[in-house]
Amino acid sequence: MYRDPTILSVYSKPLRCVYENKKLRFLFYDETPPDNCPVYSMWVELFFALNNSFLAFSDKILQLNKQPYYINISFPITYGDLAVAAYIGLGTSYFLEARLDQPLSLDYPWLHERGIFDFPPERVDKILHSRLLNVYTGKDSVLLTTNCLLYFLKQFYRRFCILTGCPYNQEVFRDFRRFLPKDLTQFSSMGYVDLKGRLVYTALFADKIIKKLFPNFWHDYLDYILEVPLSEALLNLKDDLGLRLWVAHCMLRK
Amino acid sequence: MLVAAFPTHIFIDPVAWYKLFCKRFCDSNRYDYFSDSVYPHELIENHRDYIQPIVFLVFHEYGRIGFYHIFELPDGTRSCGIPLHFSPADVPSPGTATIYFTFQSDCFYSAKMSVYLSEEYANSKSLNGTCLNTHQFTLDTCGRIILPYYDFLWDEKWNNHAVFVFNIYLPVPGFPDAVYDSKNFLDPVAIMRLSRLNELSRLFIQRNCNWHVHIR
Repeated sequence: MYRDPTILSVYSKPLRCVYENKKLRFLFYDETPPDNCPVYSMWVELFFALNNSFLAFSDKILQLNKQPYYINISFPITYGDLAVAAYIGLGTSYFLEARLDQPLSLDYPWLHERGIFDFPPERVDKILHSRLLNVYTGKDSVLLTTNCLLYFLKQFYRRFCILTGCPYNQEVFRDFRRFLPKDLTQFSSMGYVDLKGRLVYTALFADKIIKKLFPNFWHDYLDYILEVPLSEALLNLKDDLGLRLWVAHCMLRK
Repeated sequence: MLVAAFPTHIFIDPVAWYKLFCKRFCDSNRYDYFSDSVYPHELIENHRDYIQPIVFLVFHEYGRIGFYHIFELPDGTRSCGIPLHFSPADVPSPGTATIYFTFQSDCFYSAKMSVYLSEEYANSKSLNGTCLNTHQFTLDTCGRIILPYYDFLWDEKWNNHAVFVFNIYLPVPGFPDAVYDSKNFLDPVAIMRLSRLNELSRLFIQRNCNWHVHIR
């Protein structure tokens, strides 16, 4: 694991955005936001849904010690995440490598990215810094949020495979690169502001992808995945805006 | 007041939906498809096994889409739209909309909507102080409300209202000219920072801010 304390302290900070002059922009990690402008953190959410149910993942996978199962799998985006997500893009082989031998960390998954952290600390800082500068001056924010989403999907899936012995199916990620962002029947996403005022980019993955990621999950991974019928999910909407939006999407399957 | 409501399970099970409405359409060949699905509002409001469809009218500033008109209600709360229950055509009430649907491929497409504002919205004010002073108007909806595909569920207690968002691009016949003043319209971030914003408006803005396409 990469342990340079300076790099860690800088790039582990939660990513912030500021709304200024009717525009939303990223704040640099050492930037002081302008007075009276709202500042937001950014999160990514993953949901998995079959025809009439959601999948909930056990705390054995997520290890957050908050509840036994999670329908909503959410991650805060750090500056390191953003830099690496921008670095990997969709055109690299990054998603095809399982790297199941690496340590588990959902806190700082970007710390394990080969190709960046094989360099000495000062070089790593330069690389990440330049990636962030590219992000700040780039135009395609939709593609960037999609990169972040798939980056967290890979981290979550990699963790699932390590803990359960599920074979890592790189075909899924190859497919993503092929059909993104067109195939809305298998993958849908949207942005919203959650009940705590955080910017959330949320995605729902449907049957075809689920069956590829977690084959025979109802048989092989009973200890890790619980199927929650829509009728039960309806009872848990109050504090979860992401779930509320995806329930509307799943009812009668748009 | 009579309002439309449907058993929750027909929103979950496409077969149940088909049985209830497609059969009804084939049998009746009429436009009042929902005449068998209306209930007294006070009876159905807190019923968790039924979902009430409501339309939420939001008014965009002319030439500036994404800037919404704010209504200040007599009790001091604020809203960025007007919620209306679906009502049957023969007994419209204040606070409802009568929507005329056509039926195609298992779905209902709205054709026309008659809006009957409740007193609180008819007497609401814009941010510049203009009173709306409008009780009824009619809109061509051009198939933009599609049953059963609602936008989100809402209710402070039971989540038993299926909200169909309907975007209106001003002007609307009957509204006072002063309503169109730019000062009356706010962008989503400014709306979220408003005090006394009602919960439905807050949910709508959280859902529709589309922040990810606005990062620069």
